[in-house]
Amino acid sequence: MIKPPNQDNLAPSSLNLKQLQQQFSQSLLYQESDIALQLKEKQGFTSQQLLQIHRNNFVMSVTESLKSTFKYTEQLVGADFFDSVARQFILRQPPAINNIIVYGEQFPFYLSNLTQLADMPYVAEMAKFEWLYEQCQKTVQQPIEFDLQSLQQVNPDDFEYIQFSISSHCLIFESSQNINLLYQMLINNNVEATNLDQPCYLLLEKEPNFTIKVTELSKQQWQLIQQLQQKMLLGALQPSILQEQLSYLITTNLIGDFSIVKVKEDQ
Amino acid sequence: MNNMSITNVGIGLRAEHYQEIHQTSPAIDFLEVHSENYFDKNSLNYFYLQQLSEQYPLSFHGIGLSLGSAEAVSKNHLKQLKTLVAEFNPFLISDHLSWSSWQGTYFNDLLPVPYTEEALSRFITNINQVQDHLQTQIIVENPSSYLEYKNTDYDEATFLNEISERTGCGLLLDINNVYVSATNNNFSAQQYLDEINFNKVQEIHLAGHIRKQFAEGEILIDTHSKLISDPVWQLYSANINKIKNAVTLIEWDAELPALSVLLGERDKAKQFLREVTHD
Repeated sequence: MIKPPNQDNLAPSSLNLKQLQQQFSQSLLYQESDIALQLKEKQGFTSQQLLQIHRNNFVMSVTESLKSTFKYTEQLVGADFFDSVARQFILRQPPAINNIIVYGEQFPFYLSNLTQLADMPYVAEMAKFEWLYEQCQKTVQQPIEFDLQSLQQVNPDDFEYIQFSISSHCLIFESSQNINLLYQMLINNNVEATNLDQPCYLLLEKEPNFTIKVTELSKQQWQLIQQLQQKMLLGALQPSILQEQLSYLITTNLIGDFSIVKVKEDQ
Repeated sequence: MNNMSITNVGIGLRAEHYQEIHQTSPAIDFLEVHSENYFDKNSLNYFYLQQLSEQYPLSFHGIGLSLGSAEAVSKNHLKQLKTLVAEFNPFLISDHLSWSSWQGTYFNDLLPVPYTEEALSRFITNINQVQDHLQTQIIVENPSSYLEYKNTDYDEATFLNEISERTGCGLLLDINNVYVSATNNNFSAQQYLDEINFNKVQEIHLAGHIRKQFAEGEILIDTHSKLISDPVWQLYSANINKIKNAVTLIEWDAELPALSVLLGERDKAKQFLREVTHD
């Protein structure tokens, strides 16, 4: 039934839909808003109390999503601190895409700038690791069919133009903190006081069953993989590192393919 | 609706139950998934959906179209939904009578639409955009509400009927939401159900809610975290003879119990349906 206007309950100045949603959005982000004037009074409750239900739904549901991605980070700082920091983060950098599953990339960087965590740099580093871990689960599983024979047939004059491709399901991680040690302690539920102030280089590989294999790398291996991910040609790589590490990358199936890339010089 | 009939009752598929359902293949009429969780083709969710789609009919339930926004539906979101629909061919595609994003901020909540002429016009435009893009009908669900706007031109049931009439979309009637809204906003749930055009209803949702006590009084919150309450079962039972061509779904999203609990609720719904259809 179409409702007759209720003169007693009309908003003092009616907003159009855009204005209303603008005001409602500001209210959800705890910014100044007149949306309460547009709402009916409910017996016993103020409009602000009713709006608080939606603010809670927003912050709590997005916090749950962050907890799902950053569960070990939460373990490190405790649920109360995590909830408090997540709330600040969500209100400052709310989700921008209508799919909560892709939210949280900036959270580790937010943590790394918090003064409360200045003495615990491993917290933000663990968050960076967990974000990368989740991204690795979404990588394309690439069948490895590296053609070693074709590589052997490359004309030596073209060696410097070879461009190796790192398999798409492999990602690398670098930290000034020993995140691998911390991660192992957390997954084994055996966290002990220890010095984490050591650099850490890791390879994350997605397995066909969607688990992630975490392997320690040397700094040289990490650098080489990074350079290859940046599409650097063989001729631009340091020969000594290549000599030491290339066979490792091939035998461990990190290199998925190669191509010869000759860029034409400007006329 | 494929071979579905009113006697079919499905359950919401959640990640915690993937393996058990895949391994034990319980008899379930259909599974309903939150579409957005499956947009990524390389994800574990997608992998399981591929496997389960070989065993069960699927319906897609979205929470991200933001059909009530005063702006157009995200083309990127629509594109991803269309790809998913093309891959799995669900027998129903639904979203909500609500808005959830505004000018680049997504609130991950089903926010209330004012039931005005302007909002109706915008909602119709957005539904037409979605149906034109997907080249298929969608169905729209009534929300739970905790507050009401002062300036409205329609009540919610009429607003939904108008949307359906003018766009050709179907309706998804969540009886728990009707009960929650009616209790919170002090109207008759039965009167609401009397006004809804059941000819357009293609799916019924049943779920649980919590009662939150405040110093000022009580508010029901639609949490999908509990057994379906007795008053909701009573509304379902009292209106079951109006259902013409709708399947029923048991929804449970938070504090997820064992699969057997969901199947128990499914059995209860089937029992009510049997009493009406004499199957």
